[in-house]
Amino acid sequence: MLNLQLNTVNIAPKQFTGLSKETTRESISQFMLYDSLHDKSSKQTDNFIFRKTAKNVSFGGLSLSEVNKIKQSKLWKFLNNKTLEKFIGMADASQTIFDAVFALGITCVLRPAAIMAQSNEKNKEKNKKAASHSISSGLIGYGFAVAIFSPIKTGLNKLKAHPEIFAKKAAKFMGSTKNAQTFTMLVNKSTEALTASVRSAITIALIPFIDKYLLNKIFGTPQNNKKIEKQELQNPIYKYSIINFKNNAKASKTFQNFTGGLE
Amino acid sequence: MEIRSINTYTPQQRNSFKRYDLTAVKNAAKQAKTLANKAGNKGTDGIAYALGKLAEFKGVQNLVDWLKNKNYQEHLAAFVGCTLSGFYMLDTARSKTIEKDQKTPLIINQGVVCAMSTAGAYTLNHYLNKKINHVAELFHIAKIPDKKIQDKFLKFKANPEYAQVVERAANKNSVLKQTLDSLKSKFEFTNNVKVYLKEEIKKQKGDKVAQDFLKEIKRVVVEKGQDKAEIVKKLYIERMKNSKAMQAAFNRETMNNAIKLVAKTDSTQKLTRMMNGFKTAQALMVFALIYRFVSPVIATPIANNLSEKLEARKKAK
Repeated sequence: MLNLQLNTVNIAPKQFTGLSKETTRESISQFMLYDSLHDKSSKQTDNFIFRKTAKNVSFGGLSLSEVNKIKQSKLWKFLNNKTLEKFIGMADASQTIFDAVFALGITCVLRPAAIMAQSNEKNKEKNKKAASHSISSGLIGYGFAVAIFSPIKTGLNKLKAHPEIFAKKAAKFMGSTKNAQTFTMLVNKSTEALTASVRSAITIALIPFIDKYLLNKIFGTPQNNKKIEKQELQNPIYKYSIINFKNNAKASKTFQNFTGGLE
Repeated sequence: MEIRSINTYTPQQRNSFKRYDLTAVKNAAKQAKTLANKAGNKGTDGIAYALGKLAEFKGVQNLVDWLKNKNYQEHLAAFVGCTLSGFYMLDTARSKTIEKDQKTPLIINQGVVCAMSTAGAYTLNHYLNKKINHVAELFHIAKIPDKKIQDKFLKFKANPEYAQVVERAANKNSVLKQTLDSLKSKFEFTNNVKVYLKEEIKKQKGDKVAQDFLKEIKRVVVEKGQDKAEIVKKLYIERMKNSKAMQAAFNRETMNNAIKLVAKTDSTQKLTRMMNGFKTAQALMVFALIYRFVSPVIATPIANNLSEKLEARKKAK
C-alpha cells in the first residue's frame, strides 16, 4: 500500500497505469536500497522525487492521513496536555525530591493502605506486619537516599564533569564515557550492596515500633487481650489470686465451700 | 473593653507585625541554606576526590575494563535487590521484638516480593521498555517547538520509510547531508538499538541477516586495546546493507539522535528539560509503581496463604 502511494503521488503520475504491487515495488527497489542512496549516480534519478504535481501535497509523498491519525489519537492529545507538561517539568526541576516524595507516598501511604484494605480478622496482624515493613523500608530508603546515595551521586557527577581535577592520575581513564558509565554503575551498585545489611537491620528493627505507635492506633489491637491474660497468668500474684478463692471473684462456685487452700 | 481593643487594632499594626516576623525567618532560612549548601558542596567535593582516588587503583580499572564490554548491569541490579531482600529475611528471623507467629508470614512475604521483582526485572522490563519507548518518542516529538520540524519527525514516526525520502533530500541539500552524516557517525549499538532491532525482526516476521548478527556479536573476540562497541558498530554497518530490520533500527536510533540534536539547538532548553523529566517520571510512574506497590500488594495474600498452610502442616505433625 505504501509503495503504491509513493508511486502514485510522486514518481510519475502519468506513467502510472495501475501496475500490480509487485511490479511497482521492483521498479522502485533499485534506488530504495540502502547502499544505493550513497551512490553518486543515483542523484540524478532522485530529482524527480521532488517534482511537484497537483497531487503532491505532502513533502515526502506520504499521505498526510497517517500523520493526522497520530495527531487525532488520544495519546497525542494526552502528551500535549498542559498539566502533563507541568508535571514533567516538576520531575525535571527537582529530581531527587520528586523521587523521594513519590517513593514515600507509595511506601508510607498507598501500599500500607492497599495491604490493610485486603485484611480480615484472620490475617489482620500479618497484614499489619507487611504494612509496617513497607513504611519502615520507605523511611529508611528515603533517609539513606538523602544521607548517602544522593551525595555520592553528585560526587560522581562532579568527578565525571572534571576528571582532571578530582582524579589527576586517572583523568584519562575517566575521560572515556564508557569507562565513566561503568565506573558510575559499579560505585552505585556496590554502595547499595555494602549498605544492604545496615539498611535491613534498621528497617526490621523499626517494624515493631511502627506497629506499636502507628498501626495499632489506627487499626486497633485485637490480640492484646490474650497477651495480657497470658502475662497475668505467669505473674505469681495473679496465680495466687486464682487459688485464693476468697478474693477471686471469677472463681467458680464449685470451690466456694472448699477450704483446703494454701497453708 | 474587648470590643474596644478590636476596634483599635489597625491593619497597619498587623502589617508591621507580619513584616518583622517574615524578614527574620527569611534571613535565618537564607543563612541556613547557604551554610548547608557550602557544607554540602565541600562534602560532595570530598566524595568526588575519594572516588577519584578509587578510580586510580589498577584493580578497579581492570574491573571496569572487564565489566564494560559485558552486559551485566541487569544481573548486578538483580543481585543487589536479592541481597537486600535476603538480609531482610535474615534480620526478621533473628528479630527478638517481632512476635514469633508473625515471623513466618513476613519472611515469606519478603521472599515472594523479591522473587516477583527479580522475575519482573528480566521479563516485564523488556516488554514495558518497548511500549514506553514509543510513547517517549512521541512525547519528545510533541514538545518540539518548531511545528515544521515536528511534522517531519511525525512523518517518520507514522511511516519509517520516510527516512529514505530524507536521505534523498540530503543528496541535494549539503547542510542536511552534513547533519545526517554526523548523526550517522554518532550511531552506537546500544541496548535501545537492540530492542528496536528485535522489534523490527518481529514486525518483518524474521530477518536472517539481523538474527545472525545478534548471534554473532555474542561471539565477538575483543583483543586488548580494542573497544567492543567499535567492533560491533563496524559489523552492524556492514551487515545493515542486506537487512531491512537493521536499517529500520538504525533509522530509528538516528531519529532519536536527531531529536536530541534539535533539543541542543533549542535556546529555551525546554525540550531537554522535558526529555529528562520524562525519563525520571517514567522510571517512577512505571517501575516504582510496579515494584514498590503492585508486587508487594499482590504478594501479601500469597504469603499469608502460604504461611497458613505451613502452620497447618506443623500442627498436623
